[in-house]
Amino acid sequence: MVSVVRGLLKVVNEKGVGGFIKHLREEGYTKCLLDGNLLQTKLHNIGATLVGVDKFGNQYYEKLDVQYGRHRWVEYAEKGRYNASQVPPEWHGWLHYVTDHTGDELLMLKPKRYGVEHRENFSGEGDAYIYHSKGHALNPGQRDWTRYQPWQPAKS
Amino acid sequence: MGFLLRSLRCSKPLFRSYLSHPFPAHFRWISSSSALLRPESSVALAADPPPRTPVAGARVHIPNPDDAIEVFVDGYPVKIPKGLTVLQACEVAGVDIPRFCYHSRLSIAGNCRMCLVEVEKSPKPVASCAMPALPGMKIKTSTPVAKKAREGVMEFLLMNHPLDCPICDQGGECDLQDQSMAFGADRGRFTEMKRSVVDKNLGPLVKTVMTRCIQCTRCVRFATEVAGVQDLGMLGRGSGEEIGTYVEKLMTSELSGNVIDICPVGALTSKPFAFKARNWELKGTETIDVTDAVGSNIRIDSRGPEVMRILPRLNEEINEEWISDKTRFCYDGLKRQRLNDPMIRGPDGRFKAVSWRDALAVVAEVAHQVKPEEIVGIAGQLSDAESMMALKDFLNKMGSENVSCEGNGISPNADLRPTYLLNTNISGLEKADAFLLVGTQPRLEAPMINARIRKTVRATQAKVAYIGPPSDFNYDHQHLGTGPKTLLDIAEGRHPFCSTLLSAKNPAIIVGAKIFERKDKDAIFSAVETIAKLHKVIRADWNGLNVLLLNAAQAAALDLGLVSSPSESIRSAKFLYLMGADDVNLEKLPDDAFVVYQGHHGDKSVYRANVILPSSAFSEKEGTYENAEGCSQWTVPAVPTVGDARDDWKIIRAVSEVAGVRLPYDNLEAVRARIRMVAPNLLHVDERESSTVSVDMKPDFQHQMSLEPFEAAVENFYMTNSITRASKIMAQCSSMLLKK
Repeated sequence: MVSVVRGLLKVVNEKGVGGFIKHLREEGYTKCLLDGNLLQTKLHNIGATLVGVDKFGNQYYEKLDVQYGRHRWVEYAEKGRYNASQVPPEWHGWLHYVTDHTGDELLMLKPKRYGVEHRENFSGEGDAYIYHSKGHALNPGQRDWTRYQPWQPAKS
Repeated sequence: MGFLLRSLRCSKPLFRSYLSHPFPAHFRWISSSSALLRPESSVALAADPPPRTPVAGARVHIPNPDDAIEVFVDGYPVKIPKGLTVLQACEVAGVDIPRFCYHSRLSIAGNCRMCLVEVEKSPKPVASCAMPALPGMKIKTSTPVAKKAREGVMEFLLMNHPLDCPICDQGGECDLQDQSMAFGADRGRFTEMKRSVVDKNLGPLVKTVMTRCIQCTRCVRFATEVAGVQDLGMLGRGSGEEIGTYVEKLMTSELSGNVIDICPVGALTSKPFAFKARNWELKGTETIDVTDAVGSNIRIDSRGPEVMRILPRLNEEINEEWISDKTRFCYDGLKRQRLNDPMIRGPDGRFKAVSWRDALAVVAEVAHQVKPEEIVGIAGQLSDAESMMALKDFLNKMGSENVSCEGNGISPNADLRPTYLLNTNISGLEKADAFLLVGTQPRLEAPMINARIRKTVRATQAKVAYIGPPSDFNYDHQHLGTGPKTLLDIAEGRHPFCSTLLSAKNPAIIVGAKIFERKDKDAIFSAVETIAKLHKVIRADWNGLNVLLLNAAQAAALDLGLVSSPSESIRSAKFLYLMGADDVNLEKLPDDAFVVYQGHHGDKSVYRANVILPSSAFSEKEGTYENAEGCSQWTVPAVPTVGDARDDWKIIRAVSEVAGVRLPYDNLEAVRARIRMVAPNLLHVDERESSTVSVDMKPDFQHQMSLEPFEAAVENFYMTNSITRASKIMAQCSSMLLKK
């Protein structure tokens, strides 16, 4: 507790009161009042080790003296609408206790040629991926069932 | 307790029956039938099979009862004429003998040995296809000896045959596949290496996988006997035996596609069809071909909206079982350059796709703005009789008489039907023993008729004389001259060929349709008729004076009376209605003329059109076509129409309604009823109407004959109409085989 208060005072000293309030807002502490989930994560973070930060800004914490299976977690960079699909694949394994290698270490395993950038799931956000069958008009790769080649008048 | 006792009492009869019979009747032992347990009685059973019907409706015609002999096939007596082979006798008796090398239209080779049967008093099984049937011969086709012989032959054939049926185009229609299932052994004993053979290049049409070849030599015999080219042959002996061209050479025959059909295995398959479809996914539609005037009977195999291949259909009267390469491989032209939307040429000279309503309104409006005699209609070479009838009725109602069909030349004479038909009939040509070909090259104009002439020449050593430009023939012929001068010599009896014609029993004269386009055609035809009269070509029992038409639409057009002269009427035309006419010369057309092009392909004439009305091709519509011998046949739609296209006669019917001169028919039956009033013979499908009036009734013409030589009607065999001109395969053929 003392360390927490000392940390807070240090930040206030560095940034001033205005900067401190801005810092609180950016770090999502203001949202904690309405979002218990975030508040719980923030409370967990006290005394935990920050193992790494991925390219989206999600912070991965570990605390080995809590119950096994609850000792790794993520604090999402997005404080408002966070969801599990924001975790990139390289960190997924570490977060779900599949491996002890952190995402930064696993990043080198990412295939160079065909690996695509991670995108979070936008379902319900208006940018959802909707599967259209290959004959559907909205499928960009819709198959052309025309089996003839029309005459093109432009050639004349 | 009482219940138990009662139930026991009720079941007593059942118990009793169990106890009284040690082997009760309702026990069935798993064993063969009692008849099989006693061998001597099973023989007696097998000796009485039900009578069979002849294979594929095979009929025997015994001209002379004295020549009939009786043989016994599996114990059944069969009466057959002398000279039939054992295999044919078995077919008449209703036993289908497996065969690979034997083909009823080719000579007998007897080298596949698949048709082995047992003949009584013969030490070995005999090859039935090569053995003549003798009186009293006792043929056994299903004895253990015959079955073992077949199994052995099949095992030998399969030794060097690759097991690639899953990737073979013949798979599903392969004789070897079927017969190995029916007659082969149930297991193989072969463990060594198979031989492999280098593939041959036979050109753009026939794909070869020579490892699959079983050396039946059907293709070699077809090439030498029917196609008349000495391209294919057998090289090597024993296990090194190969079919091939002797030197690196393409197969240059207009009938080469037929080797695909006669090949019993997948050694020769269709190159354009390779790996495109399996034969069991295809829908077959029995229709007729329109690429030439023969009207070959074909089967269009389609998958969904796409024509996948074209195969011949048996018709002894017309094409036997062959078709020309143009017929077989033109189908990819049906998928390219198609007109699918009505279009109007805007003021900027560009075409714009419009709705039918707008296009028809424009056509009808312009048709009313011009004078009736300035309206000209020309039917194309692929038009069916229904649409030509509608076109003629429409233009007549508009007040114009200028309706013609391309290819029929200057003011065609349609008064006497025999003057433009092949009066001898195609099958009748086999009876002829002297041919005089005047300005016609049947090999290019009508390959199936040429195949008949070749068959006749081969069978009876008939003499063939030819007048016309130097041309390629695949049978012995005399080239008498190039122009009408030779014709005059023969007509006046000065030419040495006259004696051949005079001594011939059934002389046949075939005049080419290209002569219709000459200015002196009447003089030439009167010279030909003089020859016919001199040499008794037309008798009560024989009509040897023939005209060989070029296009599928020509005969029907003349029957329906589309008889104006396009070359003259075009000069003053203000409204030109082209119904698929692409070979008509539009240079003399006035610049302000309004051209409506109704057709299925964007071909030559489209570029001059003001309005394009898309119509359906022959594979997509029901239509009547009359072939060169005057036999009308129907096409059947095999695939749906393309885009917004409609049937030809329906378009004209719609135009007529918008123009205010509504034609009085709304369906195909009504159009045909109208045709019945004009030319009833067009509705007598598959019948040949013999002429009732003779050519003698024709008035005499004493015009001067010009001495300019006859021209070739077909420069490029593979590209003669809008479908074949759109085809890629035909373009390949003409560049590789004709070097054009």
